[in-house]
Amino acid sequence: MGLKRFIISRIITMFVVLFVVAVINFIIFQVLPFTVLGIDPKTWFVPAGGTRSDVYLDKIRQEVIHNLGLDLPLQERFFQYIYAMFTFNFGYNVGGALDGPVADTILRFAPYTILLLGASTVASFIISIYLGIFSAHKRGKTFDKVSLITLLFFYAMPSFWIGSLLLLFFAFGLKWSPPNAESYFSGLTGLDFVYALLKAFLLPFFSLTLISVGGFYLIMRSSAIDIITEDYILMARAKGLKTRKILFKHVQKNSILPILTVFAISLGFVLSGAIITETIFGWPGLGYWSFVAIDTLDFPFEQAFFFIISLMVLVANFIADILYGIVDPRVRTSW
Amino acid sequence: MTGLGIIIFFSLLAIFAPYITWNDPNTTFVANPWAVPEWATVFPPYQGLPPNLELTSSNIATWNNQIASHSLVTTSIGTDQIPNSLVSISRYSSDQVSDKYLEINASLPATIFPQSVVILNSSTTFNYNYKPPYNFYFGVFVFPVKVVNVTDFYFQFMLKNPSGKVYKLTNYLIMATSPQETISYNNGLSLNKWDAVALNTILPDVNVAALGPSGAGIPNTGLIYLNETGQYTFTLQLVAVTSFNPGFLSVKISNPYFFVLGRAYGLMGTDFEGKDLWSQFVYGSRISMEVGILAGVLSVLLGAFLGLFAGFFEGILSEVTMRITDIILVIPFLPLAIVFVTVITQNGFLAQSIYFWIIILFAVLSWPGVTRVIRSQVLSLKQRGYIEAARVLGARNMYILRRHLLPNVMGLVYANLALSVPGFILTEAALDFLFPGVSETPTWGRMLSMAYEHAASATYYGYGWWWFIFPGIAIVILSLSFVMLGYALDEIFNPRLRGR
Repeated sequence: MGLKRFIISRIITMFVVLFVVAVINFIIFQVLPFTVLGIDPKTWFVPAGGTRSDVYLDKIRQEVIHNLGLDLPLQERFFQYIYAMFTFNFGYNVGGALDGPVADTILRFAPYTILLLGASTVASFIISIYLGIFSAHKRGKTFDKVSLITLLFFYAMPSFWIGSLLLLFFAFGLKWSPPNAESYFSGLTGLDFVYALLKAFLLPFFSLTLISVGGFYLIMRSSAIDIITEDYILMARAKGLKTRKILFKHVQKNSILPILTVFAISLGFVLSGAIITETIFGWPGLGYWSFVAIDTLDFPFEQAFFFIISLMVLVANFIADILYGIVDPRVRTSW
Repeated sequence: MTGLGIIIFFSLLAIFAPYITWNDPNTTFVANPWAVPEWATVFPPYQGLPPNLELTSSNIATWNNQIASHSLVTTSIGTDQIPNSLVSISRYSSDQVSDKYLEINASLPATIFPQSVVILNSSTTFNYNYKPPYNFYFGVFVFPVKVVNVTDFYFQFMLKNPSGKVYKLTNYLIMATSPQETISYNNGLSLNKWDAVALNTILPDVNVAALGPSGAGIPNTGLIYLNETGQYTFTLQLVAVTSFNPGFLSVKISNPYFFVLGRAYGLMGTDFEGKDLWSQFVYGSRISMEVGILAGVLSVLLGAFLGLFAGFFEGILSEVTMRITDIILVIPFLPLAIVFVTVITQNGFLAQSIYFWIIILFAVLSWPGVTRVIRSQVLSLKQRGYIEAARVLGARNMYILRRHLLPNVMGLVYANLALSVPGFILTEAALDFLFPGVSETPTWGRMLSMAYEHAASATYYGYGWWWFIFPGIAIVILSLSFVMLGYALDEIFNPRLRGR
């Protein structure tokens, strides 16, 4: 099978999976709440302010119900929904926390998430590569033991715990950074905005990096140990190469494969990965807003959010497969 | 091995929770809010912080009872059964309560205008050798026997500090419970019935108290009144208000108390409402263990079963199973769990068994990972010679599955079980953190959630480290011990991995 056929068949599978995910989302957000659990959309639609007259409220409710298509029979709603999802036409926000078209809100808040998650994923990726290689090199020594225990601890640490500890000490205690990121830099412009953004960015960035470095490190360490015990490393040592060169030329290149796949897959979860951290620090990314949206039962936002995450994950897996083939020529034979 | 030990330790905590805790985890003010753990008082910053202190004797007979200057008053000591309901109000435990009472019979003169007359002056001394507390409780049990032609009668409480300054404790401004409401006979006491005149200094709005040791400009009473070490005198006065006719008053009093709310309490201190964190912690281990292990067992059972069959019988069903795993693995786990919990809590009936539904959801969302591992193992095992031999000997599919394949994948199943539990523990804690109000059960996630909510006031109280650290450490350690167990099992069943 050539690369072209491989890609085409993967894309077809992706579409099938995406379709099924869309169907599952439909069941979760449109069938389950209204049909099975009997939630009345009237009870969950709370307008902002809440001081408007009843007639006006009723009008809004009717509008929302119409916009959501809740007045249509299920099968018609389903086809409309599928069509809308695949044309990226996600409808309008309800619930009062967010306004306007869902696609706009997602585009507006995605940069924050991409900045935070992208930076912390890359940082933890780089840290874990170096730590992992050194640990493998010093296997069984104090350095390895200490870093293994520390990072295992980080690995098992709940994100909300480390988040609230950092918040407690650095935001409330030492007042180095704001307790709520969003209110800190909203309304600012220009350089002030950038400065405030960076200041608010540090804590969530640090906490996310701490959390994700553990997993990467464990994979990196074990694959580096695999490589270090290979004969050609012994050979390189025997011919007198410097340790630095062995570690970062031979070991790094060969042991990076497994972690690269994990890295690509975790990039797929970039949009969803930080709900808790973003909520704790009030970082106005998609994770934070998705929690707010769930709280206000903003189902149009949620179904779009889920759909986009699934799409991202599929694309990331796909890229990971291709990447794997590029980095490791041996994999290509299976295409 | 350590891992197993820790798991057993937490299991024991969970099982024996009622026997190793001294408080209901939801009882407020078991000690002062933000009390540090008692053992922390050995460290300099917390040295000398008061624990819960019962400073006076409950036996009124041992007090210095002085009849005020009126000659028409007589007193006598008797014994009586004190109702249990009062004991909890007074903060006495049932073995501290005394059955002694002091009976006072007083004839009051007739006056044109109502006059307050001090009938009894009962005092005791105590030594206080700690840092000042924030709050204290005080009061007395009362049994009005006969009240004739008396406008009213009430109690006054006084505290004399070592340097001789006398504070009138029933000062309306600094007391949380107003004296007019609870102290006097006309407001609450009834004839021939034991009742408690109970007062405390806790400000009615807990959040005000949480703003810092001085609240919102209102000083904590304890900080002022008990700010010296040495001998204090606590005095209780019975005051009657005369009327137009000659009156007669007969009252029994017993069990006067002066109780300091500890700023150091128990094994883990208290939270912002003075709830015992140790009992919250112990009861919290129940939910974590329950959800983690049950969800783990369910998902691994389901996953292993499907993996065995999908690997053994290659056909349309196996293909469908594998495609389902593809799909489920793409769905974001935590967001879906959050949506699920939100939807469940909208329905009052389902919300009652929220943890049951969380377990089901975890199992449904996480079997695919197990299925994949088991299936690939089965696919490779199937090619082995002994399976073929068994088949040649005429063994049927079910027999081969049961006798040859199942024992060979059991190791993987156990390892997967141990490795999947920490994920469930973490996710459950995260859900509790995000939805602290879902149920009344204390959990580690909910403890951390409340701590996070009060992080702003925690900075006044040594960062509230005892509240933040223990549940978090417990989650980490319990998760890690399951991970260790999983790795150990993996090594036992896959000898090639040894030496990692």
